[in-house]
Formats: sequence, C-alpha cells, structure tokens
Amino acid sequence: MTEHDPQPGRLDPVAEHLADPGQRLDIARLGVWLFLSTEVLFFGVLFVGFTLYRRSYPAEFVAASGHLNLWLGGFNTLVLLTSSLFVALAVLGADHGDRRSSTRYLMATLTLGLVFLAIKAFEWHQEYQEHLVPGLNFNLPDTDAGWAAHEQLFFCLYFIMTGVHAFHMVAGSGVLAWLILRGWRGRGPLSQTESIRIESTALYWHFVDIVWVFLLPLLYLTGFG
Amino acid sequence: MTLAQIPLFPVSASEHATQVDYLFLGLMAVSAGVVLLLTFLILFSIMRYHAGSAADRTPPRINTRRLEITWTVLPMIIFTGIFAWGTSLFLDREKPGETPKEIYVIGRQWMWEIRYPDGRREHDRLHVTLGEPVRLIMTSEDVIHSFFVPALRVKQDVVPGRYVTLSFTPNRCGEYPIYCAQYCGTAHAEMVGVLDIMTPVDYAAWLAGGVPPDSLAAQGRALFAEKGCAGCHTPGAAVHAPRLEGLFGKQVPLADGRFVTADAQYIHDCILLPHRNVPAGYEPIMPSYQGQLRETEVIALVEYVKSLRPPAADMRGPEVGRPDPEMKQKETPAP
Amino acid sequence: MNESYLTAGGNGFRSWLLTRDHKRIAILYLISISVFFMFGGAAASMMRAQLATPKGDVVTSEVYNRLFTLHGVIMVWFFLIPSIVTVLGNFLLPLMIGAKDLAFPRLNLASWYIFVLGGLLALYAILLGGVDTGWTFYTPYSSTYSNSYVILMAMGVFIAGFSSIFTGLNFVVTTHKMRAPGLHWFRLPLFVWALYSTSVILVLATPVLAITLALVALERLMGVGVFDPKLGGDPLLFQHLFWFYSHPAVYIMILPGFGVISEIIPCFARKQIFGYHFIAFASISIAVLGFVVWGHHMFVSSQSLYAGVVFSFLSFIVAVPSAIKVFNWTATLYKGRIELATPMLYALGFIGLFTIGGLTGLFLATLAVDVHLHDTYFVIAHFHYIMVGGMVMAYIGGMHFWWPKITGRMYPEIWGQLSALIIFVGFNLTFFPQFILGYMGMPRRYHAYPEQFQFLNVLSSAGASILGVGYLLPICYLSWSLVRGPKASRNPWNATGLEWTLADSPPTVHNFDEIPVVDCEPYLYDPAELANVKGDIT
Repeated sequence: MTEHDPQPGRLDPVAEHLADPGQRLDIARLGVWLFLSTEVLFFGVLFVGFTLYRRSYPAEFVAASGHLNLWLGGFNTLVLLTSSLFVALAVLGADHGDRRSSTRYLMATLTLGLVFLAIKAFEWHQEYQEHLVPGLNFNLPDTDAGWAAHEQLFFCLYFIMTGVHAFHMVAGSGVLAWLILRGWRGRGPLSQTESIRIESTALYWHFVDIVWVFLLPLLYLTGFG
Repeated sequence: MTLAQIPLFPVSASEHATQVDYLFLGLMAVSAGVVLLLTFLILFSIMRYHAGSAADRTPPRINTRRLEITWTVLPMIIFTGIFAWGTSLFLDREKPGETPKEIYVIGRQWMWEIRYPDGRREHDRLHVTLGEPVRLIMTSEDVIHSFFVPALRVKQDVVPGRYVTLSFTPNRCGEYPIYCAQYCGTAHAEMVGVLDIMTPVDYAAWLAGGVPPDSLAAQGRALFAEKGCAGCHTPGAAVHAPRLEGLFGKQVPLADGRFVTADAQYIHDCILLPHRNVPAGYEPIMPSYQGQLRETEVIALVEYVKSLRPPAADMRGPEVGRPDPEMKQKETPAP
Repeated sequence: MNESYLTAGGNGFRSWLLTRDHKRIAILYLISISVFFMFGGAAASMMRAQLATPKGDVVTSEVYNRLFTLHGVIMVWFFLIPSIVTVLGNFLLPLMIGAKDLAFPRLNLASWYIFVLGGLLALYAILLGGVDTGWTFYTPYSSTYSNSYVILMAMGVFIAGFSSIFTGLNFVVTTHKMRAPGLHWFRLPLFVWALYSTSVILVLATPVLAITLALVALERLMGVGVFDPKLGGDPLLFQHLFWFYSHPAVYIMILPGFGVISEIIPCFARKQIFGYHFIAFASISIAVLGFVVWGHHMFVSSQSLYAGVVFSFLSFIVAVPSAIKVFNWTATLYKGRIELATPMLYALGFIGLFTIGGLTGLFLATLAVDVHLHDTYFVIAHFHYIMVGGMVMAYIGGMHFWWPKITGRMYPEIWGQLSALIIFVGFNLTFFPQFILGYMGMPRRYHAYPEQFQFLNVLSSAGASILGVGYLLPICYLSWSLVRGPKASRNPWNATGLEWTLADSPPTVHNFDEIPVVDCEPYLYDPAELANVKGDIT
C-alpha cells in the first residue's frame, strides 16, 4: 500500500524525487487544500454579487426564485450529498489499500454525479422552455421593463452560478472516470500514489458539494421565511 | 518658449484649492526631507565604506530593536498627521449653513451638458459667479466620465444611473479648463470644457443677453403632463399613487421598513427604477420610464418635484391636474 | 562530473518543451516574458512619440487608445507579474532551500503552457485590432459600449491568471514542505520570504480577477446587466471587484523585487543584513494589508466618503512596512565594505527610485490631494517609479547577480555599469516631469493635450528614448556573454546561500548531489575581512 508507484514519473503529480511517502502525502494534501481555497474565492465573488443585488431588489428576486423547481433542486441536493458519502467510503477503502472496494464506491459517486448533471440539464431545459434564459430568450410577459430587468439579473446570476458549479462537476466527473479506469486496470493493492489521488479527488468532490449546499438556499429558497 | 513661461503649478481659483496646495507642499517637504536624508546616508556609506577604504568597521553598539521601533513609530506618527490633515480638508468641501447654487451637469460621450435651474443650457461651458458657492449635481448618460477642474483642485467621477455632487466656491475670475478625467472612449481627450468665473456684474450681463428660456421646473411641469405622470400622481386619481407636493427633502418610509430621504437620487430612481424604493402603503405598480426619458428630462422632472410646495404652505403653488378638493375645503373656514 | 541542466538530457525542442526541471522552465519563462516586454515596450515608444506634440498626429485617437491598453495589459499581466517570480523564483527557490525541484514539477510546466496560451490569446486580440478600454476594463464602457475585442482579451488574461495561481500554489507548498534539514523559517534567505508572501497573494487574489473578467465577458456576450445601470446593475461593483484583486496585484509585482534587493545588498556591502526579522515580517504584513486598501483607487468614484476615510488610513499603514525595508537596507550599508558592481548599482537605484515612488504614494493616499491628482499623470509617474524604477531595476539587477549561476558565464562588467547608469538617467528624465504634469492637471489616457503641457511631455519623450537604449544594451551584451563571455566559477561573488556555495554554475539537473544540512543564519558576511570569504554552510 505504501509502495512507491512502480512507474514513477508518467502521470505522477508529486515530485518523484521525494522518496519519503509521508512527505508525498503531506505535500499532496497541502496542495489540494490551497487549490480549494482559490476556489472559495472564485465562487465567493459570485456569492457576494448575488447577495448585494438581492438586497437591492428583494421583491424581484423573490419572484424570480419562485420560478425555480424546488423539488428538483432539493432532490439533486440529496443526490449530491449521497455521492459525497460514497466518495468518502471510497477514501476509506483506499486507506486500506482495497482496490475493489474503493473503485466500486468511486463508480457509485460518478453515477450519482452524472444523475445530478442530468437533472440539472433537465431543469435548465425547463427554464429554457419557460423563456427564462437571459441572452437567449428571456421574456416575462405582462411585466414592466424595470421589473423584468431585475428578474433577468437573478436568472443571469442563477445560470452563471449553477453553470460554473456544473463545470466543476463535469471536471470532477472526468477525474473520477479516469481514476475508475486506472482502478480497474491495476492489480493488487492500491499504491500510495493512487491512494493520494483518490483522497485529493474526494476532497475536491466534497468542496463542490459544499458549494451546492450554499447555492441551494441562496437561489431556491430566497423569499422563504 | 522661455523658461519663465513653463508653468509648474496651476492657478488656484478657490480657497479650497489654496489649502490643497499647502497640503501638497507639506507632503513635498516631508518627501524631500526623507529623500535627502536617505541620499545623504547612502552616499556617505558608499564614499566612506567603499571596498578599498580603511575606515573603521567595528559594528556599532546600538540597540537594534529600539532603532527598528523608532523608525516604525515615527513614520506612523507623521503619516497619521498627514492623513488627518487630508481627511479634514476632504470632508470639508461643503461648508454647513451655505445654500449653494445648484447646477446640473450631464456627461455624455463626448461633451458636458450644463443645465441651469432657470432653464438655460450650455455645453462645455459653465458660468458661475465669483464668491458664490456652487453645487454641481451630475450624472452620465452613458459611461463613467469624470468632471475635473485643476484650478479648483476638485474632481468627481460622473456615473450613469446615479447623481453625484461636487461643491466649490470660486474666488478668482477667469477661464479655467474642465477636463474629463475618466477614460470614456475615442474622444476622451477632446471632452474639454471651460469654467468661466465672472464678477456679479458680468454674470448679470451674461444672464441678460439671450432669450430667457423656460425654467427647468417649468420644463419638468410640461413633461409631467406629457408623459402621463399626472394621470396617477394627482389628487383624486383612480390609481393610489404618492402625493408629490412637499415631498422633496422629506423622510419617506419604504415598504421594506427602511427610511430614505426624498432627494434628487430618490426621485431619479422612482422614475427609472421604481421597484427599488416602494413607499410604505403603496403597491409596486409604477411603470419604469427607463429608456423613455433622457437624463436631461429626468433632471427637469426632479426640479419640478422640488418646486412643489406642500398644499397648506403655498396656495399659489403650480397646479397639479385637478384642484385638490381637500385644499378647497381648507380655504373656506368653517362658519 | 555531472552535466549542467542546460545540456543534460539532450538539447532538442522536445527535451525543453517537455521538461520538468524548474531551471529549464525558468528559461522558458525568460524567453516568453522577454518577447512580451518587447511588445509592451514598442507600444510605449509609440505612445511617447505621439505625446511629443500636443495635437498628437503620429497615430489616431482610436489607435492610441488601443496602444495604451496593450501597454498596460501586456506589461502588467504578461511581464511584471510573472517576471521575478517565474524566472528567478522558479530557478532559485529549490536551490535556496536545498531541494531538488519544486513540489509539483509537472504543474510547473503546465503553468508555463497556460501562460503562453493566455498570452497568445491576448496577442491574437491585438492582431485583430486590439482593445480600447484601458487595462482596467471599467464598466459600462467595456461591457456595453466598447467596440473592440474585449472578450478575447479578457479570456487571455483569465487563462494567464491560472498560471499565476498554480505557480503560487507550487511555491507555497514547496516552501512549507521541502526545506532542507536545519533550514527553519528564520534561516531562509529573504528572497524566499518575499516569494512566499507573493505566492499567498497570487493564490488568494487572482481567482477574484478571473471571475470578474468572466462576468464582463458574459455581460458582453449575453447582454445582461450585472454592471449596467440601465438594467439595474452597478458599475461600481466592477470597480470594487477589479481593485480587490488589482491592488494586491501591485504587491505581487513589487514584493519579489524587495526580495532580490535583500539578497544583493548584503553581498555587495559584505555585511549581514540589518533587521532580518523585521524585513521578513514586513513582507508578510504587506501581503496581508495589501488586501484591505483597494478603495484608495476609488476615492472619487462616488463610493461613500467614510469608506474613503477608512481606505485612506489603511493605505498609510501599508506604507510603513515598505519604509521599514528601505531603512534596513540603508542601515546594512553603514560600516559595510561596498563594491559598486552592476547588481549593486541596480539595487541602489532601486532604493532611490522606489523611495520616491513610495513617497508619492502617500500623496495619493491623502484624500484631499488625491481628489486633484487621481487619473492624472501624477498617478502614472507614481506607479512607473515603483514598477519600472523599482521592479524592473530589481529584475535586471537580479538577472545580473544570478547570471553566472544560471548560464555559467560572466557578462562584461563595464557594459553592465554603463547600462545601469543610462537606465537610471533615462528613467528619471522620462517620469519625473510627469509628476509636474499631473499636478498641473494633465489627465491620463489623453492622445492629445493642451499646449501648455508640451515642454514637459517633450522632456518625457526624450527620456523614453534614452531609457529604450538602456534596455537594449543588456539584451545585447547578456546575449553576447552566452557565447563569448568568460566561464563563471561556482561562486564569483563569494556570496552566501545554498545556490552559491553548493550548486555548480550552472547547476546540474538535480541541483545537489545530496541534500545539505543547514546549521547557521543567512548572510554571514564580515566587512572587516579583506580577503574574500566563503559562506560557512555545510
């Protein structure tokens, strides 16, 4: 389990000149946490922008939020939270070097991730049909131009925020797929390198999950209470 | 061009400008002092301690920590002093108790439109009277511009969608350039105007020349009727809309619990972004006039609303649609 | 006998373009940023030619507006921000801490490719006709009104931003986790402290710029009103978001320069640096405080007056650590044994010019004065004194200092000293008159100006030609030295530091035969000794 990957260097993200396995794990962890902190700032700007405009146009934002499908949003949240459970179980399996178990849990994670994306795509399609996509076909009949512009602002931020989130999900899904392929192709217990990769990916997946947990109330539950 | 003609310092056309110059010179003195001191120390070290010299190099016995703290605290004290001076001058631009003359300025690519309350309009030229405090109320029709008069040492970014103010009291006659200081497109460098500070006599003469136009408030009154505002904002109208008489300057309770002052920005937003400030007790049903009114027209409407005195205060106020039946009742005292 | 990194593993394109060696990646960056510097410098030359006459008839206003945008975008994002960090930092960080490479070598190479991709997009935007918004992209001009390739340029900068983030991430992890045994934090060279502080800003600030530019691009693409007041948006929101990144960005640009000066001065004064701990803490505090002063770019923007007061006060505070550094460097010279070699000339020039630039920053932090000076040539002079008089001098000085280590060759000293002087004179002639122009009221970004400003503008343009010569000279003689310069010994300056005492000139691929153990403080120079002393690090 703690053996050095027999093929150092090919796709090894951590410097191969570091022989000490503890050091390699340490370095990978610090790297991933730093990367996630940049993502916090990246999403943070969008959250700040949304909050500021929500304060400026409370009525319009409440009305706009009402167009969203809370059932689908809520169900998607359950899907994503469960996928996080599976990826955590994959890490547990990887800790024990259990190739089969961790790979299977990664597959479950990926499956739920794809379910999430499918539901999101369906939601967007619904919103498209209701003429709620700014820049494409946004149109609110029987509303005056000023009000409509502010509801459009909500939807602009909605699509940008869920779009950026979905992009991160797609990237994460791609990495999961690659890990699963390597998991199946390899033999014997997981190497330390593979274990580091699974843990790093799991951290990233958890982060994307947490972002969604904040997005849901902000976008879907505006105006409740 | 002789050396004497090279200007190094702009003319000062207000007391504030002169004060800013003193502060600037103070900063120059501090900076020159620091630069001279450091230059001396460095040159001294280079000359005395260059590689070939036999000067004594035994390390000096000083408390380094104390030295570090000294040259940390001393600059902080000096900086705090400069900060305080600069801040007080900055916050002090409009003296309390003054009633400045308000003039509207609208920036647009690539000119300055000046609208006086008496209805006079100019572009790229602003006439003011010597010694009279002025407050410019400014907005932009398109991108961000910046109204800059070096002779007054003042500048204010002019932002679309909001009113900003710039106050000054001129104390020197003459013509001074107005520049646009915020890059705004192709002809940014050509958006140059003239501030003409005139004696009261000359100003009166300038006023006398030319046909007196409708005052801004009168222009606003015409718009009020033409654009249909009177349809709702009239006593007795079918739609429940706020009364505008005496509104300007009052505190308005909003539907979401906030209180705002009904100033120029408030009136501007009510017309163009009505859902931003819905007054308490009213439905958010006012249509937005965004795109239907130019900023120059909004200014006229603001001046008109400003001119509407509360019903009891001035019976001879401008007529707002039909006479108010309540007002009529107050006129006839009870027997 | 180990081969140097320059020739080991072959010398073909593939071995360079697929390298994972931090030293080769540094050279790749050196070539790229030098190319970008040429573009940015060419734009500046045309601008100064235009401004020699008041009517400005060298180029039209449309072209001029695109030129100053090009100059700003290229110089800030494709030259200054990468320069010391990606060339000297990449090369020296592992050497200085006794490591064989950075923590993530492949990520390092990816950073370079991402940088080049971003740069190519920016150049493509320029080729198509350029952008005319200024490097600051203020809305609603950039998001709604400008008729130029804003989206393409914004995407180029967006992509290049990831290069910054990954490099910063790499440096932070490397510094935390890969120091040689015995090399605890307060034994690190100050250049490492500077790189670390810079990296923290790179990691935390750059994402904000990325998403802000993405929002501008989306606004142009989708026509929505995030920043457009006609649709309920707020143009000032853009300014807050932009400057939240761009103020820390200027510290990204200058902190590495401070680090270089902290290495050069002790070596050429032959004396331990004065106030090591204070300089180290000053670097960190600049990085932290740099995040809370962004509003000083917006005093007249119509932000609240009281926000202005707070930002002004904090801006004065952030000047204090920089002042501390200048005092410490000056104190290091006292009772030293000073040699005016080329790197030292650049370092001394840095101290003078940076001090002037920093002091003029106080003018701009002062509220009442900034109202007059904002958006005038005073601001331009201020930031060029820091960026060019400071940072570029530090970069060139550092390149000269570490040239023998990087290339194994020495450059001709007399040409080095001559160029330093020419640059110093040319620089001051170019930019000092601009302080005066600014107070007189000449605004920025003007392609033509009123006649009374001409004399000072002519001085400035004359200075620019001298400065241009000054920059061309090192390019010539440094290139010449690659082929004909005398071979350098391992430690020609008798400097302390692991890169000098243990690594060859140029170093081998893996830097060290075995990881050193460090047991003493840095900068153990002794000015009393006449003979040259080697550093005492085993």
